[in-house]
Amino acid sequence: MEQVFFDSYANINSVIHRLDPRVKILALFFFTFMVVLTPIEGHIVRFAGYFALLFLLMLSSRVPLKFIFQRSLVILPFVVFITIFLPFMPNQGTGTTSYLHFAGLTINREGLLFFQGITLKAWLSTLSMILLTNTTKFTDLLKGLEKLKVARIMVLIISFMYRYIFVFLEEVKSVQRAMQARNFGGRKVWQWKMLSSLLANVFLRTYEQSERVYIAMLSRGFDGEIRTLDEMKVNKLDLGFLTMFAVAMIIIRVGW
Amino acid sequence: MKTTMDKAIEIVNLEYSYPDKTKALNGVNLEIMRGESVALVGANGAGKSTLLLHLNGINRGKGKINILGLDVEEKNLKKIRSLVGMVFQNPDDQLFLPTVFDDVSFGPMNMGLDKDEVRRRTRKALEAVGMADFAHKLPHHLSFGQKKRISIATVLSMEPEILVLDEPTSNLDPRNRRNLVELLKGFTTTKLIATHDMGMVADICQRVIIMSAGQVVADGSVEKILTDQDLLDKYGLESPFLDPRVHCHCG
Repeated sequence: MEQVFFDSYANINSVIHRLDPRVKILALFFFTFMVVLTPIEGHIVRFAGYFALLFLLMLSSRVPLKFIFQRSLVILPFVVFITIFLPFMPNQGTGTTSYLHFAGLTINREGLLFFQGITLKAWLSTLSMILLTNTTKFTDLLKGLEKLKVARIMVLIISFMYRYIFVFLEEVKSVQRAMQARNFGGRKVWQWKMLSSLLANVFLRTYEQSERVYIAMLSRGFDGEIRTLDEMKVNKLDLGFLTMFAVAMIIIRVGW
Repeated sequence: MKTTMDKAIEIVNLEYSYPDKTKALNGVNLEIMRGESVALVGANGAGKSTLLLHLNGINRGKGKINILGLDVEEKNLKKIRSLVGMVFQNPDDQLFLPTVFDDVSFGPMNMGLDKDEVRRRTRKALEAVGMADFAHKLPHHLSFGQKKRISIATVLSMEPEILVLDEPTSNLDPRNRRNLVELLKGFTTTKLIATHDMGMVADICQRVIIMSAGQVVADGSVEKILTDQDLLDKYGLESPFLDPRVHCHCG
Protein backbone atom coordinates (compact mmCIF):
# COMPACT_ATOMS: atom_id res chain seq x y z
CA MET A 1 0.00 0.00 0.00
CA GLU A 2 2.68 2.40 0.98
CA GLN A 3 5.02 3.39 -1.78
CA VAL A 4 7.25 6.28 -1.01
CA PHE A 5 9.99 6.81 -3.49
CA PHE A 6 11.33 10.30 -3.47
CA ASP A 7 11.07 11.20 0.19
CA SER A 8 12.12 7.98 1.89
CA TYR A 9 14.16 9.74 4.57
CA ALA A 10 11.95 12.79 5.09
CA ASN A 11 10.76 11.47 8.43
CA ILE A 12 14.09 10.92 10.19
CA ASN A 13 15.46 13.57 12.52
CA SER A 14 18.51 15.78 12.11
CA VAL A 15 19.51 19.43 12.28
CA ILE A 16 18.68 19.79 8.61
CA HIS A 17 15.30 18.11 9.07
CA ARG A 18 14.40 20.53 11.84
CA LEU A 19 15.05 23.64 9.77
CA ASP A 20 12.06 25.63 8.58
CA PRO A 21 11.01 24.43 5.10
CA ARG A 22 11.05 27.99 3.80
CA VAL A 23 14.66 28.41 4.82
CA LYS A 24 15.58 25.20 3.05
CA ILE A 25 13.70 26.13 -0.11
CA LEU A 26 15.40 29.53 -0.20
CA ALA A 27 18.80 27.93 0.38
CA LEU A 28 18.18 25.46 -2.43
CA PHE A 29 17.09 28.22 -4.74
CA PHE A 30 20.15 30.29 -3.90
CA PHE A 31 22.43 27.30 -4.34
CA THR A 32 21.03 26.45 -7.78
CA PHE A 33 21.13 30.09 -8.79
CA MET A 34 24.81 30.45 -7.87
CA VAL A 35 25.82 27.14 -9.40
CA VAL A 36 24.12 27.91 -12.68
CA LEU A 37 25.63 31.39 -12.90
CA THR A 38 29.21 30.28 -12.23
CA PRO A 39 31.08 29.79 -15.52
CA ILE A 40 32.85 26.47 -15.71
CA GLU A 41 36.01 27.57 -17.50
CA GLY A 42 38.78 28.20 -15.00
CA HIS A 43 36.41 27.87 -12.04
CA ILE A 44 36.48 24.18 -11.45
CA VAL A 45 37.75 24.74 -7.92
CA ARG A 46 34.60 26.72 -7.13
CA PHE A 47 32.46 23.79 -8.17
CA ALA A 48 34.53 21.62 -5.88
CA GLY A 49 33.67 24.13 -3.16
CA TYR A 50 29.93 23.95 -3.91
CA PHE A 51 30.14 20.21 -3.80
CA ALA A 52 32.02 20.26 -0.51
CA LEU A 53 29.38 22.52 1.04
CA LEU A 54 26.60 20.27 -0.16
CA PHE A 55 28.49 17.22 1.07
CA LEU A 56 28.75 18.78 4.50
CA LEU A 57 24.98 19.28 4.57
CA MET A 58 24.41 15.70 3.41
CA LEU A 59 26.57 14.42 6.25
CA SER A 60 24.71 16.44 8.85
CA SER A 61 21.33 15.38 7.42
CA ARG A 62 22.03 11.70 8.25
CA VAL A 63 20.44 10.66 4.99
CA PRO A 64 22.62 7.77 3.72
CA LEU A 65 25.09 9.13 1.15
CA LYS A 66 24.71 6.04 -0.98
CA PHE A 67 20.98 6.73 -1.26
CA ILE A 68 21.52 10.33 -2.36
CA PHE A 69 24.14 9.48 -4.98
CA GLN A 70 22.16 6.57 -6.34
CA ARG A 71 19.13 8.80 -6.69
CA SER A 72 21.12 11.46 -8.50
CA LEU A 73 22.16 8.90 -11.11
CA VAL A 74 18.52 8.54 -12.11
CA ILE A 75 18.43 12.11 -13.39
CA LEU A 76 21.84 12.10 -15.03
CA PRO A 77 20.94 10.09 -18.17
CA PHE A 78 18.31 12.68 -19.11
CA VAL A 79 20.84 15.48 -18.84
CA VAL A 80 23.54 13.57 -20.66
CA PHE A 81 21.14 12.65 -23.43
CA ILE A 82 20.64 16.34 -24.12
CA THR A 83 24.21 17.54 -23.63
CA ILE A 84 26.16 14.65 -25.16
CA PHE A 85 25.86 16.12 -28.65
CA LEU A 86 27.26 19.52 -27.74
CA PRO A 87 30.95 18.61 -28.18
CA PHE A 88 30.25 17.42 -31.70
CA MET A 89 28.41 20.52 -32.88
CA PRO A 90 30.25 23.05 -35.00
CA ASN A 91 30.81 26.35 -33.28
CA GLN A 92 27.81 28.65 -33.58
CA GLY A 93 29.47 31.96 -32.76
CA THR A 94 32.59 33.61 -34.08
CA GLY A 95 35.26 31.11 -34.87
CA THR A 96 37.65 31.47 -31.96
CA THR A 97 37.31 27.88 -30.94
CA SER A 98 39.74 25.05 -31.41
CA TYR A 99 38.94 21.56 -32.46
CA LEU A 100 40.30 18.32 -31.12
CA HIS A 101 40.57 15.25 -33.25
CA PHE A 102 40.05 11.99 -31.55
CA ALA A 103 39.34 8.57 -33.01
CA GLY A 104 38.08 10.03 -36.23
CA LEU A 105 35.74 12.43 -34.46
CA THR A 106 36.01 16.15 -34.43
CA ILE A 107 35.40 17.57 -31.01
CA ASN A 108 34.56 21.21 -30.46
CA ARG A 109 36.49 22.47 -27.46
CA GLU A 110 33.87 25.00 -26.52
CA GLY A 111 31.15 22.39 -26.87
CA LEU A 112 33.11 20.10 -24.60
CA LEU A 113 33.18 22.81 -21.96
CA PHE A 114 29.44 23.31 -22.34
CA PHE A 115 28.93 19.60 -21.94
CA GLN A 116 31.01 19.47 -18.78
CA GLY A 117 29.43 22.61 -17.38
CA ILE A 118 25.82 21.71 -17.95
CA THR A 119 26.23 18.16 -16.75
CA LEU A 120 28.07 19.20 -13.62
CA LYS A 121 25.63 21.99 -12.81
CA ALA A 122 22.63 19.72 -13.38
CA TRP A 123 24.14 17.06 -11.17
CA LEU A 124 24.84 19.50 -8.33
CA SER A 125 21.30 20.90 -8.55
CA THR A 126 19.89 17.39 -8.55
CA LEU A 127 21.87 16.48 -5.47
CA SER A 128 20.63 19.54 -3.63
CA MET A 129 17.06 18.77 -4.67
CA ILE A 130 17.31 15.21 -3.43
CA LEU A 131 18.68 16.51 -0.16
CA LEU A 132 15.79 18.93 0.18
CA THR A 133 13.04 16.39 -0.53
CA ASN A 134 14.61 13.88 1.84
CA THR A 135 15.01 16.28 4.73
CA THR A 136 11.56 17.88 4.53
CA LYS A 137 8.15 16.27 4.79
CA PHE A 138 6.36 16.75 1.53
CA THR A 139 3.42 18.46 3.17
CA ASP A 140 5.80 20.91 4.88
CA LEU A 141 7.44 21.56 1.55
CA LEU A 142 4.07 22.48 0.08
CA LYS A 143 3.26 24.72 3.02
CA GLY A 144 6.66 26.34 2.66
CA LEU A 145 6.12 27.04 -1.02
CA GLU A 146 2.72 28.48 -0.21
CA LYS A 147 4.15 30.72 2.49
CA LEU A 148 6.84 31.91 0.10
CA LYS A 149 4.02 33.14 -2.13
CA VAL A 150 4.58 30.66 -4.92
CA ALA A 151 1.48 30.78 -7.14
CA ARG A 152 -1.32 28.85 -5.38
CA ILE A 153 -2.23 27.01 -8.53
CA MET A 154 1.29 25.58 -8.81
CA VAL A 155 1.32 24.46 -5.20
CA LEU A 156 -2.10 22.92 -5.68
CA ILE A 157 -1.02 21.00 -8.77
CA ILE A 158 1.98 19.57 -6.92
CA SER A 159 -0.21 18.74 -3.94
CA PHE A 160 -2.73 16.86 -6.08
CA MET A 161 0.10 15.05 -7.80
CA TYR A 162 1.45 13.91 -4.46
CA ARG A 163 -1.99 12.89 -3.21
CA TYR A 164 -3.05 10.94 -6.28
CA ILE A 165 0.15 9.41 -7.57
CA PHE A 166 -0.33 6.64 -5.02
CA VAL A 167 -3.94 6.11 -6.04
CA PHE A 168 -2.99 5.75 -9.68
CA LEU A 169 -0.06 3.48 -8.95
CA GLU A 170 -2.53 1.18 -7.23
CA GLU A 171 -4.78 1.30 -10.28
CA VAL A 172 -1.95 0.53 -12.67
CA LYS A 173 -0.95 -2.37 -10.44
CA SER A 174 -4.45 -3.78 -10.36
CA VAL A 175 -4.73 -3.59 -14.15
CA GLN A 176 -1.33 -5.28 -14.42
CA ARG A 177 -2.46 -8.04 -12.09
CA ALA A 178 -5.59 -8.56 -14.15
CA MET A 179 -3.41 -8.85 -17.27
CA GLN A 180 -1.01 -11.27 -15.63
CA ALA A 181 -3.91 -13.35 -14.35
CA ARG A 182 -4.79 -14.00 -17.97
CA ASN A 183 -1.23 -14.85 -18.99
CA PHE A 184 -0.29 -11.59 -20.61
CA GLY A 185 2.26 -12.43 -23.29
CA GLY A 186 2.36 -13.29 -26.95
CA ARG A 187 3.93 -11.31 -29.75
CA LYS A 188 5.91 -8.22 -28.76
CA VAL A 189 4.03 -5.86 -31.06
CA TRP A 190 0.76 -7.02 -29.62
CA GLN A 191 2.11 -6.55 -26.09
CA TRP A 192 3.06 -2.96 -26.87
CA LYS A 193 -0.41 -2.33 -28.22
CA MET A 194 -1.91 -3.66 -25.03
CA LEU A 195 0.40 -1.52 -22.91
CA SER A 196 -0.61 1.56 -24.83
CA SER A 197 -4.25 0.81 -24.18
CA LEU A 198 -3.39 0.35 -20.51
CA LEU A 199 -1.92 3.85 -20.55
CA ALA A 200 -5.03 5.21 -22.24
CA ASN A 201 -7.13 3.45 -19.64
CA VAL A 202 -5.18 5.00 -16.78
CA PHE A 203 -5.41 8.41 -18.41
CA LEU A 204 -9.20 8.11 -18.66
CA ARG A 205 -9.40 7.04 -15.04
CA THR A 206 -7.38 10.04 -13.93
CA TYR A 207 -9.69 12.25 -15.93
CA GLU A 208 -12.80 10.75 -14.39
CA GLN A 209 -11.30 10.87 -10.93
CA SER A 210 -10.54 14.56 -11.37
CA GLU A 211 -14.21 15.19 -12.16
CA ARG A 212 -15.32 13.36 -9.04
CA VAL A 213 -12.76 15.13 -6.87
CA TYR A 214 -13.90 18.47 -8.23
CA ILE A 215 -17.51 17.62 -7.36
CA ALA A 216 -16.42 16.66 -3.83
CA MET A 217 -14.58 19.98 -3.57
CA LEU A 218 -17.60 21.97 -4.75
CA SER A 219 -19.77 20.12 -2.26
CA ARG A 220 -17.67 21.48 0.56
CA GLY A 221 -17.93 25.04 -0.61
CA PHE A 222 -14.87 25.30 -2.87
CA ASP A 223 -14.98 28.59 -4.73
CA GLY A 224 -11.68 28.56 -6.57
CA GLU A 225 -9.49 29.47 -3.65
CA ILE A 226 -7.67 26.96 -1.47
CA ARG A 227 -7.41 27.94 2.15
CA THR A 228 -5.39 25.97 4.63
CA LEU A 229 -4.37 26.59 8.18
CA ASP A 230 -0.73 26.53 9.09
CA GLU A 231 1.76 27.75 11.58
CA MET A 232 5.37 28.17 10.74
CA LYS A 233 7.89 30.03 12.75
CA VAL A 234 11.38 30.92 11.68
CA ASN A 235 13.72 30.74 14.67
CA LYS A 236 17.30 31.75 15.30
CA LEU A 237 18.66 28.43 14.09
CA ASP A 238 16.90 28.94 10.75
CA LEU A 239 18.20 32.45 10.30
CA GLY A 240 21.67 31.39 11.38
CA PHE A 241 21.69 28.56 8.89
CA LEU A 242 20.50 30.75 6.04
CA THR A 243 23.10 33.44 6.77
CA MET A 244 25.97 31.00 7.09
CA PHE A 245 24.91 29.16 3.98
CA ALA A 246 24.68 32.36 1.93
CA VAL A 247 28.03 33.61 3.20
CA ALA A 248 29.68 30.28 2.43
CA MET A 249 28.23 30.29 -1.08
CA ILE A 250 29.44 33.82 -1.75
CA ILE A 251 32.91 33.05 -0.43
CA ILE A 252 33.11 30.02 -2.68
CA ARG A 253 31.92 32.09 -5.63
CA VAL A 254 34.19 35.13 -5.33
CA GLY A 255 36.98 33.75 -3.19
CA TRP A 256 38.70 35.49 -0.34
CA MET B 1 -49.34 20.52 11.42
CA LYS B 2 -46.35 20.54 9.15
CA THR B 3 -44.97 23.91 8.09
CA THR B 4 -42.19 24.63 5.62
CA MET B 5 -39.79 24.96 8.53
CA ASP B 6 -40.29 21.32 9.39
CA LYS B 7 -39.16 20.25 5.96
CA ALA B 8 -35.50 19.54 5.49
CA ILE B 9 -35.76 18.66 1.82
CA GLU B 10 -38.56 19.34 -0.61
CA ILE B 11 -38.33 18.26 -4.24
CA VAL B 12 -41.09 19.03 -6.72
CA ASN B 13 -41.24 17.48 -10.16
CA LEU B 14 -37.51 17.22 -10.69
CA GLU B 15 -36.34 16.20 -14.14
CA TYR B 16 -32.78 15.79 -15.30
CA SER B 17 -31.13 14.54 -18.46
CA TYR B 18 -27.47 13.84 -19.00
CA PRO B 19 -25.70 15.89 -21.66
CA ASP B 20 -26.24 12.97 -24.07
CA LYS B 21 -30.03 13.36 -23.55
CA THR B 22 -30.45 10.17 -21.52
CA LYS B 23 -33.16 10.81 -18.98
CA ALA B 24 -31.81 10.23 -15.48
CA LEU B 25 -34.58 11.73 -13.35
CA ASN B 26 -38.11 11.62 -14.57
CA GLY B 27 -40.31 13.74 -12.32
CA VAL B 28 -39.14 13.12 -8.77
CA ASN B 29 -41.34 14.36 -5.91
CA LEU B 30 -40.05 14.04 -2.38
CA GLU B 31 -40.37 15.54 1.07
CA ILE B 32 -38.07 14.79 3.95
CA MET B 33 -38.71 16.19 7.40
CA ARG B 34 -36.13 17.49 9.82
CA GLY B 35 -34.57 14.74 11.89
CA GLU B 36 -35.75 11.95 9.65
CA SER B 37 -33.40 9.15 8.70
CA VAL B 38 -34.26 8.06 5.18
CA ALA B 39 -32.85 5.33 2.98
CA LEU B 40 -32.76 5.73 -0.78
CA VAL B 41 -32.63 2.33 -2.43
CA GLY B 42 -32.95 0.96 -5.94
CA ALA B 43 -30.97 -0.88 -8.60
CA ASN B 44 -27.78 0.54 -10.08
CA GLY B 45 -28.66 3.24 -12.57
CA ALA B 46 -32.00 4.04 -10.93
CA GLY B 47 -30.91 7.65 -10.43
CA LYS B 48 -29.99 7.67 -6.74
CA SER B 49 -26.61 9.35 -7.06
CA THR B 50 -27.90 11.77 -9.66
CA LEU B 51 -30.66 12.78 -7.29
CA LEU B 52 -28.21 13.29 -4.43
CA LEU B 53 -26.08 15.60 -6.57
CA HIS B 54 -29.12 17.85 -6.99
CA LEU B 55 -29.43 18.46 -3.27
CA ASN B 56 -26.48 20.82 -3.17
CA GLY B 57 -26.78 22.15 -6.68
CA ILE B 58 -23.95 20.21 -8.34
CA ASN B 59 -26.47 18.90 -10.87
CA ARG B 60 -29.11 21.39 -11.94
CA GLY B 61 -32.27 19.85 -13.35
CA LYS B 62 -35.73 21.16 -14.15
CA GLY B 63 -38.10 21.43 -11.22
CA LYS B 64 -37.95 22.88 -7.74
CA ILE B 65 -35.73 21.89 -4.84
CA ASN B 66 -35.90 23.52 -1.46
CA ILE B 67 -33.43 22.86 1.33
CA LEU B 68 -34.46 24.10 4.79
CA GLY B 69 -36.43 26.96 3.28
CA LEU B 70 -33.77 27.89 0.70
CA ASP B 71 -34.38 27.31 -3.00
CA VAL B 72 -31.46 25.60 -4.69
CA GLU B 73 -30.29 28.40 -6.94
CA GLU B 74 -27.03 30.19 -7.61
CA LYS B 75 -27.31 32.77 -4.86
CA ASN B 76 -28.04 30.20 -2.15
CA LEU B 77 -25.47 27.60 -3.15
CA LYS B 78 -22.79 28.63 -0.67
CA LYS B 79 -25.24 28.44 2.23
CA ILE B 80 -26.82 25.21 0.98
CA ARG B 81 -23.45 23.49 0.60
CA SER B 82 -22.71 24.17 4.24
CA LEU B 83 -26.16 22.89 5.26
CA VAL B 84 -25.95 19.71 3.21
CA GLY B 85 -22.95 17.58 4.09
CA MET B 86 -22.34 15.21 1.22
CA VAL B 87 -20.14 12.15 1.64
CA PHE B 88 -19.21 10.39 -1.57
CA GLN B 89 -18.76 6.69 -2.06
CA ASN B 90 -15.03 6.63 -2.79
CA PRO B 91 -12.90 8.18 -0.04
CA ASP B 92 -10.17 8.85 -2.59
CA ASP B 93 -12.55 11.36 -4.16
CA GLN B 94 -13.48 12.88 -0.85
CA LEU B 95 -9.96 13.22 0.55
CA PHE B 96 -7.94 15.26 -1.89
CA LEU B 97 -5.49 17.19 0.28
CA PRO B 98 -2.13 15.89 1.46
CA THR B 99 -3.02 15.63 5.17
CA VAL B 100 -6.10 14.55 7.08
CA PHE B 101 -6.10 17.81 9.01
CA ASP B 102 -6.12 19.92 5.84
CA ASP B 103 -8.94 17.87 4.42
CA VAL B 104 -11.18 18.07 7.49
CA SER B 105 -10.57 21.81 7.80
CA PHE B 106 -11.20 22.43 4.08
CA GLY B 107 -14.98 22.87 4.46
CA PRO B 108 -14.87 25.17 7.52
CA MET B 109 -12.14 27.28 5.88
CA ASN B 110 -14.37 27.73 2.82
CA MET B 111 -17.15 28.85 5.15
CA GLY B 112 -14.90 31.74 6.15
CA LEU B 113 -14.76 30.82 9.84
CA ASP B 114 -11.96 32.20 11.96
CA LYS B 115 -8.91 30.05 12.54
CA ASP B 116 -9.65 29.04 16.11
CA GLU B 117 -13.15 27.97 15.19
CA VAL B 118 -11.80 25.97 12.23
CA ARG B 119 -9.33 24.22 14.53
CA ARG B 120 -12.04 23.51 17.11
CA ARG B 121 -14.40 22.05 14.52
CA THR B 122 -11.68 19.99 12.88
CA ARG B 123 -10.71 18.47 16.20
CA LYS B 124 -14.32 17.87 17.16
CA ALA B 125 -15.16 16.20 13.83
CA LEU B 126 -12.14 13.92 14.04
CA GLU B 127 -13.08 13.01 17.61
CA ALA B 128 -16.66 12.28 16.54
CA VAL B 129 -15.44 9.63 14.10
CA GLY B 130 -12.80 8.33 16.49
CA MET B 131 -9.83 9.50 14.41
CA ALA B 132 -8.45 12.28 16.60
CA ASP B 133 -4.93 10.84 16.51
CA PHE B 134 -4.78 10.82 12.73
CA ALA B 135 -4.85 14.57 12.05
CA HIS B 136 -1.33 14.68 10.63
CA LYS B 137 -1.40 11.42 8.71
CA LEU B 138 -1.35 11.29 4.95
CA PRO B 139 -4.41 9.69 3.31
CA HIS B 140 -2.35 7.09 1.44
CA HIS B 141 -1.10 5.76 4.77
CA LEU B 142 -4.64 4.94 5.95
CA SER B 143 -6.80 1.86 5.57
CA PHE B 144 -10.02 1.98 3.61
CA GLY B 145 -12.14 1.95 6.75
CA GLN B 146 -10.14 4.81 8.26
CA LYS B 147 -10.44 6.84 5.07
CA LYS B 148 -14.18 6.26 5.13
CA ARG B 149 -14.47 7.62 8.67
CA ILE B 150 -12.37 10.63 7.82
CA SER B 151 -14.53 11.27 4.77
CA ILE B 152 -17.44 11.64 7.15
CA ALA B 153 -15.40 13.94 9.40
CA THR B 154 -14.72 16.22 6.41
CA VAL B 155 -18.40 17.12 6.31
CA LEU B 156 -19.12 16.91 10.06
CA SER B 157 -16.65 19.76 10.52
CA MET B 158 -19.04 21.97 8.54
CA GLU B 159 -21.73 21.09 11.10
CA PRO B 160 -24.36 20.40 8.44
CA GLU B 161 -28.10 20.14 9.13
CA ILE B 162 -28.50 17.34 6.61
CA LEU B 163 -26.13 14.43 6.07
CA VAL B 164 -26.22 12.90 2.62
CA LEU B 165 -24.30 9.67 2.20
CA ASP B 166 -23.70 7.71 -0.97
CA GLU B 167 -23.05 4.03 -0.25
CA PRO B 168 -21.40 4.57 3.15
CA THR B 169 -20.87 0.86 3.86
CA SER B 170 -19.69 -0.37 0.45
CA ASN B 171 -16.39 -2.27 0.43
CA LEU B 172 -16.12 -2.33 4.21
CA ASP B 173 -15.34 -5.52 6.07
CA PRO B 174 -17.97 -6.63 8.64
CA ARG B 175 -16.27 -5.05 11.65
CA ASN B 176 -15.65 -1.70 9.94
CA ARG B 177 -19.17 -1.82 8.55
CA ARG B 178 -20.60 -2.40 12.01
CA ASN B 179 -18.56 0.46 13.45
CA LEU B 180 -19.67 2.80 10.70
CA VAL B 181 -23.34 1.87 11.14
CA GLU B 182 -23.05 2.54 14.88
CA LEU B 183 -21.38 5.86 14.11
CA LEU B 184 -24.16 6.92 11.74
CA LYS B 185 -26.80 5.78 14.22
CA GLY B 186 -25.40 8.24 16.74
CA PHE B 187 -25.93 11.27 14.49
CA THR B 188 -29.19 13.06 15.15
CA THR B 189 -29.18 15.25 12.04
CA THR B 190 -31.45 14.59 9.11
CA LYS B 191 -29.97 11.73 7.11
CA LEU B 192 -30.46 10.63 3.53
CA ILE B 193 -28.53 7.49 2.67
CA ALA B 194 -28.31 5.95 -0.79
CA THR B 195 -27.40 2.31 -0.35
CA HIS B 196 -27.76 -1.35 -1.24
CA ASP B 197 -27.08 -2.36 2.36
CA MET B 198 -30.57 -3.33 3.54
CA GLY B 199 -29.25 -4.49 6.90
CA MET B 200 -28.06 -0.96 7.61
CA VAL B 201 -31.37 0.43 6.36
CA ALA B 202 -33.27 -1.72 8.86
CA ASP B 203 -30.80 -0.67 11.53
CA ILE B 204 -30.74 3.11 11.26
CA CYS B 205 -33.53 4.35 8.99
CA GLN B 206 -37.20 4.92 9.70
CA ARG B 207 -38.24 5.42 6.15
CA VAL B 208 -37.37 3.88 2.79
CA ILE B 209 -37.68 5.38 -0.66
CA ILE B 210 -37.36 3.09 -3.67
CA MET B 211 -36.24 4.59 -6.94
CA SER B 212 -36.50 3.01 -10.34
CA ALA B 213 -35.89 4.50 -13.79
CA GLY B 214 -35.54 8.02 -12.44
CA GLN B 215 -38.71 7.99 -10.38
CA VAL B 216 -39.77 7.41 -6.82
CA VAL B 217 -41.80 4.20 -7.01
CA ALA B 218 -42.35 3.47 -3.34
CA ASP B 219 -42.07 5.46 -0.14
CA GLY B 220 -42.95 4.22 3.30
CA SER B 221 -41.82 3.10 6.71
CA VAL B 222 -39.01 0.56 7.00
CA GLU B 223 -41.42 -2.02 8.46
CA LYS B 224 -43.85 -1.64 5.59
CA ILE B 225 -41.36 -1.60 2.69
CA LEU B 226 -38.89 -4.20 3.90
CA THR B 227 -41.60 -6.76 4.58
CA ASP B 228 -43.34 -6.29 1.24
CA GLN B 229 -41.63 -9.14 -0.60
CA ASP B 230 -43.50 -8.57 -3.87
CA LEU B 231 -42.46 -4.92 -3.97
CA LEU B 232 -38.82 -5.76 -3.20
CA ASP B 233 -38.79 -8.50 -5.84
CA LYS B 234 -40.26 -6.18 -8.42
CA TYR B 235 -37.40 -3.71 -8.04
CA GLY B 236 -34.67 -6.27 -7.61
CA LEU B 237 -34.09 -5.68 -3.90
CA GLU B 238 -33.67 -7.98 -0.96
CA SER B 239 -35.08 -7.87 2.51
CA PRO B 240 -32.53 -7.99 5.33
CA PHE B 241 -34.90 -10.24 7.19
CA LEU B 242 -34.60 -13.87 6.23
CA ASP B 243 -36.34 -14.57 2.97
CA PRO B 244 -38.71 -17.50 3.67
CA ARG B 245 -37.77 -18.99 0.31
CA VAL B 246 -34.13 -19.31 1.28
CA HIS B 247 -33.43 -22.61 2.93
CA CYS B 248 -30.37 -23.31 4.91
CA HIS B 249 -28.76 -26.53 3.85
CA CYS B 250 -26.42 -26.86 6.69
CA GLY B 251 -26.63 -29.80 9.05
